[in-house]
Amino acid sequence: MAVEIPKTGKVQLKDICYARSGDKGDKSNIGLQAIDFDEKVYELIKKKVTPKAVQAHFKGWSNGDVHIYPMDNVKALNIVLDHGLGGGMTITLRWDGTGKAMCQALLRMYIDVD
Amino acid sequence: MMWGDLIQPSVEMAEKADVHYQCYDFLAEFTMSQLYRLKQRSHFLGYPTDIVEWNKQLLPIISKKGIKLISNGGGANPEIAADAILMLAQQLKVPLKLGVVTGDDVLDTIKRLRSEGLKFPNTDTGEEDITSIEDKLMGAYAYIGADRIIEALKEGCDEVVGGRFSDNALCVGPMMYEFGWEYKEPYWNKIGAAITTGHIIECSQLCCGAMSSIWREIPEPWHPGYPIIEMNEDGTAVITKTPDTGGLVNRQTIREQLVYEILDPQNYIMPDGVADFTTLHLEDAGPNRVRITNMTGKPRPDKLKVGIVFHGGFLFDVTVHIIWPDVLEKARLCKKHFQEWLKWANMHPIEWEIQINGVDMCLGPTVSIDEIEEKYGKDIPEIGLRFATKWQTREEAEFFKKDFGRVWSIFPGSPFGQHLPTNPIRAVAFWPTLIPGSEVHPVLAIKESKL
Repeated sequence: MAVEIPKTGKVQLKDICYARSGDKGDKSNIGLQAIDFDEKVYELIKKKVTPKAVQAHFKGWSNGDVHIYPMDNVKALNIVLDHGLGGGMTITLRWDGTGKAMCQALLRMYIDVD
Repeated sequence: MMWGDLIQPSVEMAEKADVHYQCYDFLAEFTMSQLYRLKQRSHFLGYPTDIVEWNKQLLPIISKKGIKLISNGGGANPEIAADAILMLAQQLKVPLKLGVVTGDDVLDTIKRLRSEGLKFPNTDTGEEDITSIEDKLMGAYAYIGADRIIEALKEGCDEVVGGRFSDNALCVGPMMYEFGWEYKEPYWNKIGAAITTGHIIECSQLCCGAMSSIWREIPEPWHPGYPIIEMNEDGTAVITKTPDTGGLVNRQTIREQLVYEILDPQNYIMPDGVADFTTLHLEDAGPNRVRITNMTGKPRPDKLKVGIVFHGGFLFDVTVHIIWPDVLEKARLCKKHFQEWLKWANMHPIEWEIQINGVDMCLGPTVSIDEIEEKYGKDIPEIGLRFATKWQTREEAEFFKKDFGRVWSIFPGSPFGQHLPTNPIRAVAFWPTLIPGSEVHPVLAIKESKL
Protein backbone atom coordinates (compact mmCIF):
# COMPACT_ATOMS: atom_id res chain seq x y z
CA MET A 1 0.00 0.00 0.00
CA ALA A 2 1.70 3.12 -1.25
CA VAL A 3 1.43 6.36 0.66
CA GLU A 4 -0.54 9.03 -1.13
CA ILE A 5 0.25 12.69 -0.93
CA PRO A 6 -2.57 14.94 -2.12
CA LYS A 7 -1.65 17.07 -5.14
CA THR A 8 -2.72 20.36 -3.60
CA GLY A 9 -3.68 21.86 -0.29
CA LYS A 10 -2.65 20.46 3.06
CA VAL A 11 -1.91 17.04 4.46
CA GLN A 12 -2.01 15.99 8.09
CA LEU A 13 1.24 14.32 9.14
CA LYS A 14 -0.64 11.30 10.49
CA ASP A 15 -1.57 10.36 6.92
CA ILE A 16 2.00 10.18 5.66
CA CYS A 17 4.20 9.56 8.70
CA TYR A 18 4.80 7.34 11.66
CA ALA A 19 6.30 8.75 14.84
CA ARG A 20 7.77 7.69 18.16
CA SER A 21 8.82 10.00 20.97
CA GLY A 22 10.70 9.94 24.24
CA ASP A 23 12.78 12.03 26.61
CA LYS A 24 16.31 13.02 27.53
CA GLY A 25 15.95 15.08 30.68
CA ASP A 26 13.79 18.04 29.75
CA LYS A 27 14.34 17.50 26.02
CA SER A 28 11.57 15.88 24.02
CA ASN A 29 12.66 13.74 21.08
CA ILE A 30 10.26 12.89 18.28
CA GLY A 31 11.35 10.54 15.49
CA LEU A 32 9.14 11.40 12.52
CA GLN A 33 9.29 8.67 9.89
CA ALA A 34 8.02 8.58 6.31
CA ILE A 35 5.53 5.70 6.01
CA ASP A 36 7.03 2.82 4.01
CA PHE A 37 10.34 4.71 3.82
CA ASP A 38 8.71 6.72 1.03
CA GLU A 39 11.20 9.05 -0.64
CA LYS A 40 8.65 11.68 -1.69
CA VAL A 41 7.12 11.88 1.75
CA TYR A 42 10.57 12.22 3.24
CA GLU A 43 11.51 15.05 0.89
CA LEU A 44 8.24 16.80 1.73
CA ILE A 45 8.60 16.60 5.51
CA LYS A 46 12.25 17.55 5.27
CA LYS A 47 11.16 20.74 3.54
CA LYS A 48 8.00 21.56 5.47
CA VAL A 49 8.52 20.35 9.03
CA THR A 50 10.72 23.21 10.14
CA PRO A 51 11.78 24.23 13.66
CA LYS A 52 9.50 27.24 13.34
CA ALA A 53 6.49 25.14 12.36
CA VAL A 54 7.09 22.68 15.20
CA GLN A 55 7.57 25.53 17.65
CA ALA A 56 4.23 27.04 16.63
CA HIS A 57 2.45 23.67 16.77
CA PHE A 58 3.58 23.13 20.36
CA LYS A 59 3.17 26.74 21.50
CA GLY A 60 3.26 26.87 25.28
CA TRP A 61 4.84 23.44 25.55
CA SER A 62 8.00 24.10 23.59
CA ASN A 63 9.98 26.49 25.72
CA GLY A 64 13.35 26.36 24.04
CA ASP A 65 14.96 25.82 20.66
CA VAL A 66 13.73 23.15 18.28
CA HIS A 67 16.36 21.16 16.38
CA ILE A 68 15.64 19.00 13.36
CA TYR A 69 18.14 16.36 12.31
CA PRO A 70 17.54 14.70 8.94
CA MET A 71 18.28 10.99 8.64
CA ASP A 72 18.30 10.37 4.88
CA ASN A 73 19.29 6.73 5.36
CA VAL A 74 16.06 5.79 7.14
CA LYS A 75 13.80 8.53 5.74
CA ALA A 76 13.20 10.07 9.12
CA LEU A 77 13.62 13.37 10.92
CA ASN A 78 14.73 13.46 14.50
CA ILE A 79 13.06 16.43 16.11
CA VAL A 80 14.33 17.68 19.46
CA LEU A 81 12.49 20.22 21.57
CA ASP A 82 14.76 21.77 24.19
CA HIS A 83 12.74 22.37 27.39
CA GLY A 84 9.90 20.51 25.78
CA LEU A 85 8.71 18.51 28.78
CA GLY A 86 7.87 21.03 31.46
CA GLY A 87 11.08 20.31 33.40
CA GLY A 88 11.52 16.62 32.66
CA MET A 89 9.96 13.41 33.96
CA THR A 90 10.94 13.73 37.61
CA ILE A 91 9.55 17.22 38.23
CA THR A 92 7.07 18.01 35.49
CA LEU A 93 3.39 18.63 36.16
CA ARG A 94 2.47 16.91 32.93
CA TRP A 95 0.74 13.59 32.97
CA ASP A 96 2.89 12.40 30.07
CA GLY A 97 6.17 13.20 31.77
CA THR A 98 8.41 11.32 29.35
CA GLY A 99 6.69 12.73 26.30
CA LYS A 100 5.59 9.39 24.88
CA ALA A 101 2.50 11.08 23.41
CA MET A 102 4.39 13.99 21.89
CA CYS A 103 4.63 11.94 18.69
CA GLN A 104 0.86 11.69 18.37
CA ALA A 105 0.62 15.38 19.12
CA LEU A 106 3.05 16.13 16.29
CA LEU A 107 1.10 13.93 13.87
CA ARG A 108 -1.84 16.33 14.30
CA MET A 109 0.13 18.96 12.42
CA TYR A 110 -0.86 19.96 8.87
CA ILE A 111 1.69 20.90 6.23
CA ASP A 112 1.26 22.44 2.77
CA VAL A 113 1.99 19.97 -0.01
CA ASP A 114 3.12 22.59 -2.53
CA MET B 1 14.98 -4.55 28.87
CA MET B 2 13.77 -1.91 31.26
CA TRP B 3 12.88 -2.00 34.90
CA GLY B 4 9.21 -2.83 34.90
CA ASP B 5 9.39 -5.17 31.93
CA LEU B 6 7.93 -8.62 31.73
CA ILE B 7 10.17 -11.36 33.02
CA GLN B 8 8.66 -14.32 31.15
CA PRO B 9 10.10 -13.33 27.74
CA SER B 10 13.57 -13.33 29.33
CA VAL B 11 13.07 -16.82 30.66
CA GLU B 12 11.71 -17.88 27.30
CA MET B 13 14.77 -16.46 25.59
CA ALA B 14 17.08 -18.38 27.93
CA GLU B 15 15.14 -21.57 27.25
CA LYS B 16 14.46 -21.33 23.53
CA ALA B 17 17.04 -19.10 21.91
CA ASP B 18 20.66 -19.80 21.18
CA VAL B 19 22.23 -16.77 22.87
CA HIS B 20 25.54 -16.29 24.66
CA TYR B 21 24.67 -13.21 26.70
CA GLN B 22 21.53 -11.71 28.17
CA CYS B 23 21.91 -7.99 28.81
CA TYR B 24 19.56 -6.05 31.07
CA ASP B 25 19.20 -2.32 31.37
CA PHE B 26 17.22 -1.54 34.50
CA LEU B 27 17.82 2.18 34.67
CA ALA B 28 16.21 5.32 33.36
CA GLU B 29 16.82 8.88 34.52
CA PHE B 30 13.62 8.63 36.51
CA THR B 31 14.62 5.27 37.98
CA MET B 32 18.03 6.54 39.09
CA SER B 33 16.48 9.51 40.87
CA GLN B 34 14.09 7.20 42.73
CA LEU B 35 16.93 4.81 43.63
CA TYR B 36 19.04 7.61 45.09
CA ARG B 37 16.03 8.68 47.14
CA LEU B 38 15.68 5.13 48.46
CA LYS B 39 19.39 4.85 49.20
CA GLN B 40 19.12 7.98 51.35
CA ARG B 41 16.45 6.20 53.32
CA SER B 42 18.52 3.07 53.95
CA HIS B 43 21.96 1.78 53.14
CA PHE B 44 20.33 -1.49 52.11
CA LEU B 45 18.13 0.07 49.45
CA GLY B 46 18.83 1.83 46.18
CA TYR B 47 18.98 -0.95 43.61
CA PRO B 48 16.14 -2.15 41.39
CA THR B 49 14.96 -5.13 43.41
CA ASP B 50 13.69 -6.82 40.23
CA ILE B 51 17.29 -7.92 39.70
CA VAL B 52 16.77 -10.54 42.40
CA GLU B 53 13.62 -11.96 40.80
CA TRP B 54 15.35 -11.91 37.43
CA ASN B 55 18.26 -13.91 38.81
CA LYS B 56 15.95 -16.27 40.62
CA GLN B 57 14.22 -17.27 37.43
CA LEU B 58 17.21 -17.11 35.09
CA LEU B 59 20.14 -18.52 37.08
CA PRO B 60 18.97 -22.14 37.08
CA ILE B 61 18.61 -22.09 33.29
CA ILE B 62 21.57 -19.99 32.24
CA SER B 63 24.04 -21.69 34.55
CA LYS B 64 23.31 -24.94 32.70
CA LYS B 65 23.47 -23.38 29.23
CA GLY B 66 26.48 -21.17 29.93
CA ILE B 67 24.63 -17.94 29.12
CA LYS B 68 26.14 -14.88 30.81
CA LEU B 69 24.12 -12.14 32.42
CA ILE B 70 25.20 -8.51 32.14
CA SER B 71 23.18 -5.79 33.85
CA ASN B 72 23.15 -2.39 35.47
CA GLY B 73 20.81 -3.78 38.11
CA GLY B 74 23.13 -2.44 40.80
CA GLY B 75 21.44 0.95 40.41
CA ALA B 76 22.63 3.35 43.08
CA ASN B 77 23.90 0.49 45.24
CA PRO B 78 25.69 -2.27 43.27
CA GLU B 79 27.41 -3.86 46.29
CA ILE B 80 24.15 -4.49 48.09
CA ALA B 81 22.57 -5.79 44.87
CA ALA B 82 25.54 -8.14 44.48
CA ASP B 83 25.09 -9.47 48.01
CA ALA B 84 21.44 -10.19 47.26
CA ILE B 85 22.35 -12.03 44.04
CA LEU B 86 25.06 -14.10 45.76
CA MET B 87 22.78 -15.03 48.60
CA LEU B 88 20.22 -16.16 46.07
CA ALA B 89 22.79 -18.18 44.08
CA GLN B 90 23.74 -19.95 47.29
CA GLN B 91 20.12 -20.75 48.05
CA LEU B 92 19.64 -22.07 44.52
CA LYS B 93 22.95 -23.95 44.80
CA VAL B 94 24.20 -22.35 41.60
CA PRO B 95 27.95 -21.75 41.35
CA LEU B 96 28.34 -18.10 40.42
CA LYS B 97 31.36 -15.95 39.75
CA LEU B 98 29.97 -12.44 39.93
CA GLY B 99 31.71 -9.29 38.73
CA VAL B 100 30.59 -6.23 40.69
CA VAL B 101 31.35 -2.85 39.20
CA THR B 102 31.26 0.30 41.29
CA GLY B 103 32.75 3.74 40.88
CA ASP B 104 29.98 5.46 38.94
CA ASP B 105 28.90 7.34 42.09
CA VAL B 106 30.77 10.63 41.66
CA LEU B 107 29.23 12.99 44.22
CA ASP B 108 32.43 13.18 46.31
CA THR B 109 34.54 13.62 43.18
CA ILE B 110 32.35 16.50 42.08
CA LYS B 111 32.65 18.15 45.49
CA ARG B 112 36.45 17.81 45.35
CA LEU B 113 36.70 19.10 41.78
CA ARG B 114 34.53 22.10 42.67
CA SER B 115 36.86 22.94 45.53
CA GLU B 116 39.62 22.90 42.93
CA GLY B 117 37.68 25.38 40.81
CA LEU B 118 35.92 23.17 38.26
CA LYS B 119 32.33 24.05 37.32
CA PHE B 120 29.46 21.71 36.47
CA PRO B 121 27.14 23.55 34.09
CA ASN B 122 23.67 22.18 33.42
CA THR B 123 23.84 20.91 29.85
CA ASP B 124 20.06 21.34 29.52
CA THR B 125 19.58 24.85 30.86
CA GLY B 126 23.06 26.31 30.45
CA GLU B 127 23.13 27.33 34.14
CA GLU B 128 26.80 27.78 34.96
CA ASP B 129 27.31 25.70 38.08
CA ILE B 130 25.42 23.79 40.76
CA THR B 131 25.69 26.62 43.31
CA SER B 132 21.90 27.14 43.32
CA ILE B 133 21.23 23.51 44.29
CA GLU B 134 24.23 22.92 46.53
CA ASP B 135 22.13 22.43 49.66
CA LYS B 136 19.72 20.07 47.91
CA LEU B 137 22.11 17.47 46.43
CA MET B 138 21.06 13.83 46.77
CA GLY B 139 23.59 12.10 44.57
CA ALA B 140 25.54 12.14 41.33
CA TYR B 141 26.33 9.30 38.99
CA ALA B 142 28.41 9.06 35.84
CA TYR B 143 27.35 7.05 32.81
CA ILE B 144 30.20 4.57 32.50
CA GLY B 145 31.38 2.42 29.62
CA ALA B 146 32.13 -1.25 29.13
CA ASP B 147 35.77 -1.33 30.33
CA ARG B 148 35.11 -3.22 33.55
CA ILE B 149 32.59 -5.53 31.87
CA ILE B 150 35.31 -6.60 29.45
CA GLU B 151 37.71 -7.10 32.35
CA ALA B 152 35.15 -9.19 34.23
CA LEU B 153 34.58 -11.40 31.20
CA LYS B 154 38.33 -11.86 30.79
CA GLU B 155 38.39 -12.98 34.42
CA GLY B 156 35.77 -15.59 33.62
CA CYS B 157 32.79 -14.05 35.41
CA ASP B 158 29.40 -15.68 34.83
CA GLU B 159 27.53 -12.51 35.58
CA VAL B 160 28.37 -8.82 35.77
CA VAL B 161 26.31 -6.34 37.78
CA GLY B 162 27.08 -2.65 38.03
CA GLY B 163 25.62 0.79 38.55
CA ARG B 164 25.00 3.31 35.83
CA PHE B 165 26.57 1.51 32.89
CA SER B 166 25.23 3.27 29.82
CA ASP B 167 22.33 1.25 28.47
CA ASN B 168 24.27 0.01 25.47
CA ALA B 169 27.57 -0.64 27.31
CA LEU B 170 25.89 -3.85 28.48
CA CYS B 171 26.01 -5.06 24.86
CA VAL B 172 29.23 -3.30 23.88
CA GLY B 173 31.18 -5.14 26.61
CA PRO B 174 30.49 -8.71 25.48
CA MET B 175 30.99 -7.81 21.81
CA MET B 176 34.36 -6.14 22.41
CA TYR B 177 35.43 -9.06 24.58
CA GLU B 178 34.35 -11.77 22.12
CA PHE B 179 35.93 -10.13 19.05
CA GLY B 180 38.92 -8.61 20.80
CA TRP B 181 37.95 -5.08 19.75
CA GLU B 182 39.87 -2.32 21.51
CA TYR B 183 39.31 1.36 22.20
CA LYS B 184 41.47 2.52 19.27
CA GLU B 185 41.69 2.50 15.48
CA PRO B 186 40.61 0.51 13.52
CA TYR B 187 37.81 -0.49 15.86
CA TRP B 188 35.74 2.70 16.18
CA ASN B 189 33.27 1.70 13.44
CA LYS B 190 32.80 -1.66 15.12
CA ILE B 191 32.28 -0.10 18.52
CA GLY B 192 29.85 2.25 16.75
CA ALA B 193 28.01 -0.85 15.52
CA ALA B 194 27.96 -2.30 19.03
CA ILE B 195 26.56 0.95 20.45
CA THR B 196 23.97 1.23 17.67
CA THR B 197 22.64 -2.30 18.07
CA GLY B 198 22.79 -1.97 21.86
CA HIS B 199 20.72 1.21 21.57
CA ILE B 200 18.14 -0.54 19.38
CA ILE B 201 17.51 -3.37 21.85
CA GLU B 202 17.87 -1.40 25.09
CA CYS B 203 14.10 -1.14 25.62
CA SER B 204 13.49 -4.83 24.95
CA GLN B 205 10.32 -5.42 22.94
CA LEU B 206 10.09 -1.79 21.90
CA CYS B 207 12.04 -2.82 18.79
CA CYS B 208 9.88 -5.91 18.31
CA GLY B 209 6.55 -4.30 17.67
CA ALA B 210 5.64 -2.99 21.12
CA MET B 211 4.36 0.61 21.17
CA SER B 212 4.56 0.42 17.37
CA SER B 213 3.11 2.76 14.79
CA ILE B 214 2.12 -0.36 12.84
CA TRP B 215 0.14 -1.79 15.77
CA ARG B 216 -2.48 -3.23 13.45
CA GLU B 217 0.14 -5.54 11.94
CA ILE B 218 1.71 -6.90 15.13
CA PRO B 219 0.90 -10.58 15.66
CA GLU B 220 0.11 -11.90 19.14
CA PRO B 221 1.53 -8.97 21.12
CA TRP B 222 0.47 -10.61 24.39
CA HIS B 223 3.53 -12.84 24.50
CA PRO B 224 6.28 -10.63 23.10
CA GLY B 225 9.64 -11.99 22.11
CA TYR B 226 12.65 -10.08 23.36
CA PRO B 227 15.21 -8.92 20.80
CA ILE B 228 18.44 -10.68 19.94
CA ILE B 229 21.51 -9.15 18.29
CA GLU B 230 23.57 -11.48 16.11
CA MET B 231 26.77 -9.44 15.84
CA ASN B 232 29.38 -10.37 13.26
CA GLU B 233 33.09 -9.76 13.57
CA ASP B 234 32.94 -7.42 10.55
CA GLY B 235 30.58 -5.07 12.41
CA THR B 236 27.44 -6.03 10.53
CA ALA B 237 24.55 -7.47 12.49
CA VAL B 238 21.13 -9.04 12.34
CA ILE B 239 18.42 -8.19 14.84
CA THR B 240 15.84 -10.87 15.49
CA LYS B 241 13.84 -12.14 18.47
CA THR B 242 13.22 -15.33 20.43
CA PRO B 243 11.68 -17.95 18.10
CA ASP B 244 7.98 -18.82 18.45
CA THR B 245 6.98 -15.63 20.22
CA GLY B 246 4.60 -12.81 19.41
CA GLY B 247 5.62 -9.42 18.15
CA LEU B 248 7.36 -8.46 14.95
CA VAL B 249 10.84 -7.48 13.81
CA ASN B 250 11.07 -5.65 10.50
CA ARG B 251 12.61 -2.48 9.06
CA GLN B 252 9.83 -0.37 10.57
CA THR B 253 10.01 -1.77 14.09
CA ILE B 254 13.78 -1.32 14.08
CA ARG B 255 13.64 2.18 12.61
CA GLU B 256 11.13 3.42 15.16
CA GLN B 257 13.41 2.33 17.98
CA LEU B 258 16.54 3.69 16.27
CA VAL B 259 15.02 7.19 16.45
CA TYR B 260 13.82 6.81 20.05
CA GLU B 261 15.41 8.82 22.86
CA ILE B 262 18.18 10.29 20.79
CA LEU B 263 19.45 13.81 20.17
CA ASP B 264 21.88 14.39 17.27
CA PRO B 265 21.79 11.09 15.34
CA GLN B 266 25.22 11.73 13.80
CA ASN B 267 26.75 11.98 17.23
CA TYR B 268 25.18 9.52 19.63
CA ILE B 269 27.71 10.18 22.37
CA MET B 270 28.31 7.25 24.69
CA PRO B 271 31.13 6.45 27.12
CA ASP B 272 32.47 3.74 24.77
CA GLY B 273 32.41 5.78 21.58
CA VAL B 274 30.29 8.02 19.39
CA ALA B 275 27.90 6.21 17.08
CA ASP B 276 26.63 7.71 13.84
CA PHE B 277 23.08 6.54 13.07
CA THR B 278 22.96 8.26 9.68
CA THR B 279 25.20 5.90 7.71
CA LEU B 280 23.61 2.55 8.47
CA HIS B 281 21.45 0.54 6.13
CA LEU B 282 18.42 -1.49 7.22
CA GLU B 283 17.31 -4.46 5.19
CA ASP B 284 14.58 -7.04 5.79
CA ALA B 285 16.36 -10.40 5.76
CA GLY B 286 13.59 -12.93 6.26
CA PRO B 287 10.77 -13.21 8.76
CA ASN B 288 11.59 -11.31 11.96
CA ARG B 289 15.14 -10.60 10.81
CA VAL B 290 16.63 -7.23 9.95
CA ARG B 291 20.19 -6.95 8.68
CA ILE B 292 22.08 -3.79 9.57
CA THR B 293 25.16 -2.84 7.61
CA ASN B 294 27.46 0.17 7.32
CA MET B 295 27.21 1.17 10.97
CA THR B 296 29.93 3.66 11.87
CA GLY B 297 31.45 5.30 14.90
CA LYS B 298 34.05 7.72 16.20
CA PRO B 299 36.43 7.70 19.19
CA ARG B 300 35.07 7.76 22.73
CA PRO B 301 34.66 11.22 24.27
CA ASP B 302 36.99 12.71 26.90
CA LYS B 303 34.06 13.61 29.10
CA LEU B 304 31.36 11.46 30.62
CA LYS B 305 27.74 12.40 31.13
CA VAL B 306 26.75 12.83 34.76
CA GLY B 307 23.30 12.96 36.30
CA ILE B 308 23.16 15.01 39.49
CA VAL B 309 19.96 14.41 41.40
CA PHE B 310 18.61 16.94 43.86
CA HIS B 311 15.51 17.73 45.85
CA GLY B 312 12.93 19.36 43.59
CA GLY B 313 9.88 20.01 45.76
CA PHE B 314 6.72 17.97 46.27
CA LEU B 315 4.23 16.95 43.63
CA PHE B 316 0.58 16.39 44.32
CA ASP B 317 -2.21 15.81 41.88
CA VAL B 318 -5.88 15.10 42.18
CA THR B 319 -8.59 14.53 39.60
CA VAL B 320 -12.13 15.83 39.76
CA HIS B 321 -14.70 14.39 37.36
CA ILE B 322 -17.00 16.76 35.54
CA ILE B 323 -20.21 15.25 34.28
CA TRP B 324 -22.54 16.02 31.35
CA PRO B 325 -23.81 18.45 30.25
CA ASP B 326 -21.68 21.51 29.43
CA VAL B 327 -18.47 19.93 30.68
CA LEU B 328 -16.04 22.26 28.93
CA GLU B 329 -17.89 25.34 30.12
CA LYS B 330 -17.73 23.94 33.64
CA ALA B 331 -14.04 23.15 33.19
CA ARG B 332 -13.32 26.76 32.34
CA LEU B 333 -15.12 27.91 35.45
CA CYS B 334 -13.27 25.34 37.57
CA LYS B 335 -10.00 26.86 36.48
CA LYS B 336 -11.15 30.35 37.41
CA HIS B 337 -12.60 29.25 40.75
CA PHE B 338 -9.46 27.34 41.60
CA GLN B 339 -7.22 30.27 40.76
CA GLU B 340 -9.29 32.60 42.93
CA TRP B 341 -9.45 30.06 45.74
CA LEU B 342 -5.64 29.74 45.80
CA LYS B 343 -5.40 33.50 46.29
CA TRP B 344 -8.19 33.61 48.84
CA ALA B 345 -6.72 30.71 50.84
CA ASN B 346 -3.23 32.24 50.57
CA MET B 347 -1.64 29.14 49.05
CA HIS B 348 1.45 29.42 46.93
CA PRO B 349 2.36 26.41 44.86
CA ILE B 350 5.62 26.65 42.90
CA GLU B 351 3.61 25.65 39.85
CA TRP B 352 0.12 24.45 39.09
CA GLU B 353 -1.84 23.33 36.04
CA ILE B 354 -5.27 21.99 35.22
CA GLN B 355 -5.42 19.41 32.47
CA ILE B 356 -8.52 17.91 30.90
CA ASN B 357 -8.37 14.14 30.89
CA GLY B 358 -10.04 13.04 27.70
CA VAL B 359 -9.25 16.24 25.81
CA ASP B 360 -5.80 17.75 26.16
CA MET B 361 -4.02 16.00 29.02
CA CYS B 362 -1.48 14.35 26.70
CA LEU B 363 -1.88 16.37 23.50
CA GLY B 364 -1.55 19.76 25.19
CA PRO B 365 -1.55 22.83 22.99
CA THR B 366 -2.08 20.79 19.82
CA VAL B 367 -5.73 20.49 20.85
CA SER B 368 -7.90 23.55 20.54
CA ILE B 369 -10.53 23.50 23.29
CA ASP B 370 -12.60 25.99 21.29
CA GLU B 371 -12.61 23.65 18.31
CA ILE B 372 -13.57 20.68 20.47
CA GLU B 373 -16.35 22.73 22.02
CA GLU B 374 -17.63 23.78 18.62
CA LYS B 375 -17.57 20.19 17.35
CA TYR B 376 -19.01 18.35 20.33
CA GLY B 377 -20.43 21.24 22.31
CA LYS B 378 -22.64 20.27 25.20
CA ASP B 379 -22.54 16.60 24.31
CA ILE B 380 -19.22 15.46 25.73
CA PRO B 381 -20.40 12.95 28.35
CA GLU B 382 -17.69 13.40 30.98
CA ILE B 383 -14.13 14.50 31.53
CA GLY B 384 -11.58 14.38 34.30
CA LEU B 385 -9.96 17.58 35.47
CA ARG B 386 -6.49 16.89 36.73
CA PHE B 387 -5.16 19.46 39.18
CA ALA B 388 -1.38 19.09 39.18
CA THR B 389 0.56 21.08 41.74
CA LYS B 390 4.11 21.44 43.00
CA TRP B 391 5.08 22.74 46.46
CA GLN B 392 8.22 23.82 48.23
CA THR B 393 7.60 21.69 51.34
CA ARG B 394 5.78 18.49 52.22
CA GLU B 395 3.71 20.42 54.80
CA GLU B 396 2.35 22.76 52.16
CA ALA B 397 1.51 19.86 49.88
CA GLU B 398 -0.22 17.98 52.70
CA PHE B 399 -2.15 21.07 53.72
CA PHE B 400 -3.30 21.57 50.16
CA LYS B 401 -4.33 17.94 49.89
CA LYS B 402 -6.44 18.23 53.02
CA ASP B 403 -8.04 21.49 52.03
CA PHE B 404 -8.67 20.42 48.47
CA GLY B 405 -10.77 17.62 49.85
CA ARG B 406 -13.02 20.26 51.39
CA VAL B 407 -13.07 22.58 48.47
CA TRP B 408 -14.64 20.55 45.69
CA SER B 409 -17.93 22.32 46.36
CA ILE B 410 -16.58 25.53 44.85
CA PHE B 411 -16.75 23.89 41.44
CA PRO B 412 -19.81 24.22 39.22
CA GLY B 413 -22.42 21.52 38.67
CA SER B 414 -22.04 18.36 40.69
CA PRO B 415 -18.45 17.27 40.31
CA PHE B 416 -17.01 14.13 41.81
CA GLY B 417 -13.72 14.20 43.60
CA GLN B 418 -11.17 11.42 43.45
CA HIS B 419 -12.18 9.03 46.20
CA LEU B 420 -8.76 8.68 47.74
CA PRO B 421 -6.15 11.11 46.46
CA THR B 422 -2.61 9.75 46.52
CA ASN B 423 -0.01 11.23 48.84
CA PRO B 424 2.32 14.02 47.76
CA ILE B 425 5.54 12.63 46.30
CA ARG B 426 9.02 14.00 46.62
CA ALA B 427 10.22 15.25 43.25
CA VAL B 428 13.83 14.42 42.51
CA ALA B 429 15.17 16.84 39.96
CA PHE B 430 17.85 15.96 37.46
CA TRP B 431 20.85 18.12 36.55
CA PRO B 432 22.71 16.73 33.54
CA THR B 433 26.36 17.75 33.30
CA LEU B 434 29.78 16.47 32.20
CA ILE B 435 32.85 15.27 34.06
CA PRO B 436 36.36 14.57 32.73
CA GLY B 437 36.56 10.82 32.06
CA SER B 438 39.97 10.76 33.76
CA GLU B 439 38.26 11.58 37.07
CA VAL B 440 35.96 8.55 36.99
CA HIS B 441 37.44 5.23 38.05
CA PRO B 442 35.10 2.26 37.83
CA VAL B 443 36.35 -0.68 39.86
CA LEU B 444 35.74 -4.40 39.43
CA ALA B 445 35.42 -6.74 42.41
CA ILE B 446 34.87 -10.45 41.91
CA LYS B 447 32.73 -12.39 44.34
CA GLU B 448 31.80 -16.06 44.27
CA SER B 449 28.86 -17.96 45.71
CA LYS B 450 29.88 -20.34 48.47
CA LEU B 451 28.28 -23.72 47.94
